[in-house]
Amino acid sequence: MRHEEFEEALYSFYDRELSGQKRLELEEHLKACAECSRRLEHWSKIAQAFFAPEKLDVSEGFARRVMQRIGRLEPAGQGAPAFYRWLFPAFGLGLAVFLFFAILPETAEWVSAEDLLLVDGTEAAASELAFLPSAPGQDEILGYALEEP
Amino acid sequence: MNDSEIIKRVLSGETEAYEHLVREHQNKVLGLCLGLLSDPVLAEDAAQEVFIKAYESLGRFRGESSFSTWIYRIAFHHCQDILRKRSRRPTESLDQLIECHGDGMERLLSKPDDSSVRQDSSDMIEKVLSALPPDYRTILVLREVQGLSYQEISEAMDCSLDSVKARLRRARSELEQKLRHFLGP
Repeated sequence: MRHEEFEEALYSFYDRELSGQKRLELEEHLKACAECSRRLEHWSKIAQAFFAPEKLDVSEGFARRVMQRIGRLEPAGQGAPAFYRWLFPAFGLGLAVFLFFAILPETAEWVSAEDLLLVDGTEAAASELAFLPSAPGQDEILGYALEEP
Repeated sequence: MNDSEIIKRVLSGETEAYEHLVREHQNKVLGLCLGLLSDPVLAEDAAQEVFIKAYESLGRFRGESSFSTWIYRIAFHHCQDILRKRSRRPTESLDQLIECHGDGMERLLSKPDDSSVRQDSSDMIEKVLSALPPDYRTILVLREVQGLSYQEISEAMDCSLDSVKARLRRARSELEQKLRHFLGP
C-alpha cells in the first residue's frame, strides 16, 4: 500500500475496524512513518479530552415518567398513522369541490342562445327572460314572443 | 423475555409491558441524548420523547433490525433535529473559541486523561462541541462516546459503511487541524 492508502485507513485502524493483512501492514507502516504515528497520537489526545464518556446517572423515576405519559396515549399500534389522519379531511374537501361544480350548473338559471333567438327583436322580452326565476319551456317562450304588444 | 415478545404483548394491548423495554434501553438512549446534547435536563426530556415516539410507532416496527437499533435511530434523528435548531442560534465559531481559550486548550490537551482538568474545562469542552457542525458532533459521539461499531453507526444513521468512514475521517481531520497548534510536535 502507498502512504496515502495507509493514511486513509488510519482511523479504521484506530477504531479497530481494520482486520487481517491490512492491520498487520499498517502496524508495520506505523513503525516507520512518523507522520501517521503523530496523527494517531494527536487524535487519541483529542478523543480523551473532548469525547470522554460521561458517567451516566439514570434516575429511578425515568421509566415511571415515560409510562405515565404513555398511559395518556392510545394503545400502541392503534393510533391512525399521519397519512390516514389526513385522508378523511382531504376526501371531504374533494367531495365538496365535486358537488359544488356538479350541482351548480343544475341549479343556475340560464337562458340558452336558442331561447333568446325565439324572442328575436324583443329586447324587453329577452331581458325579462334572462332574469326569470326559473327557465320557461320553449312553448311558453314562443307564446310570450308572439304575444301582441 | 426478549424484545420481540415484549413488543407483541404491548401491541396486543398490554401497555405496561412497555416499561420492560424502557428499562432495558434507557441507559443507551439517555447516554446518546446526553452525549449529543450535553445537558442532563434536556437529554432526559429528549430521551422521554424518543420512547414516546417509539411507542406511537411500535405498530410499524417490522423487526428487520433489532429494537435496540431501531430506537437508536429514532433517538439519533430526534437529537439531530434539536442540534440543528440549536445550531441556527449564533454561537462562537471554533476558530474564535480556540483563539479565546488558547491557554485552556493547551492545558486540556497536555493532560487529556486528567479528569480534574477535564472537569475544570467542561464549559470550554461544551462550547467546542457546540461549535462543531451537528453531523460531525453526532458521528464523533456515536463512535467515541457510545463506542458504536461502523455497522451500528450506519444502521443508526441510515447510511453506508463507506459513508460512515468518510464522515468520521472528515470530522476528525478537521478537528485535528484546528487543534494541531496545541498538540505539540
